[in-house]
Amino acid sequence: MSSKEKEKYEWQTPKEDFLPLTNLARKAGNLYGGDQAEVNMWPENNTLPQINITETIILIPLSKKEALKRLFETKRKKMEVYGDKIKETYGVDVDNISFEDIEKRYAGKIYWYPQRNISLAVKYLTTHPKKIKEFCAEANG
Amino acid sequence: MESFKQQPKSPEAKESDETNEAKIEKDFVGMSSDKIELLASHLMRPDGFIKALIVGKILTSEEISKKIGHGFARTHRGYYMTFPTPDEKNQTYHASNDYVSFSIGVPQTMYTRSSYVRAELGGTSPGLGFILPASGLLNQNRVTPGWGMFKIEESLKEIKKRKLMKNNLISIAIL
Repeated sequence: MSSKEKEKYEWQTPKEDFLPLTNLARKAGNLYGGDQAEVNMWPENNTLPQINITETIILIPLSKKEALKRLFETKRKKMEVYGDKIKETYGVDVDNISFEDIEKRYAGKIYWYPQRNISLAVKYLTTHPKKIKEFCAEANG
Repeated sequence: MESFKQQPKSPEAKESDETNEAKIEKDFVGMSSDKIELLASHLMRPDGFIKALIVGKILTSEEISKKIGHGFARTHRGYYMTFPTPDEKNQTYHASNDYVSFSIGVPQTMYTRSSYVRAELGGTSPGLGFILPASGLLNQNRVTPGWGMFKIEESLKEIKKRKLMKNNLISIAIL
């Protein structure tokens, strides 16, 4: 494969080669968190994509729990002007939701990560698939 | 008589695996592909993150604009360009996305860098986001690669170099 072909392959990586090449870059120490290894979820049958938070693992730094709690209330108040639309479309009552409600809603789905940053948290989980399964088991009920 | 100084313990011996940065980095590069689970991550700034937690969904900015309002959230591209307030015109101009992006392997760190993020969470910017197993995500028909940028040539060279080095060390050990 010529260098030009390789360059094209970097920009138009076939789907079936995406994870093997991610692993190649990982093992070479070339996966660094910049503009690389990006995938997109597109509209399907004229419906815009959306992901239920309960289908994911939520990453929040343990050291920022109190700061996030304070910020939550500030942001929630600012959301009140959109309250009717949010309630009508997504069934959430913005006026009466607290941080504690959020913690209950996503119980077992939040990884309060103790690492220094989210990159280290993701790397830790990547190398501990059993830990990932614990969160996924919660998601599947 | 001079007493022997106690040798410092290696960083790996001091901390639990969960916070031992040297071990995390070493494992991430060193573990074989069948022993790990590659993850897809979607990071957000504190504002969008809290809104997503409340609404219960990761949404496209196009859906947010249509169903909730233009002022509710900004696209990642329009985040700075529409400062201080996004409106219909500039939000559309600066790419109202109809797709959701994920970074595979490690998160994109741009969402942890801005001074605004640091200010909102007080001093540092460790990062907020959502993750899920990458294999399951890529199995969906509606998910397609954006770009790789894996540095394929460099990566192959690096791995070849390491193998050669390892073989040389083995040869030396046998001698």
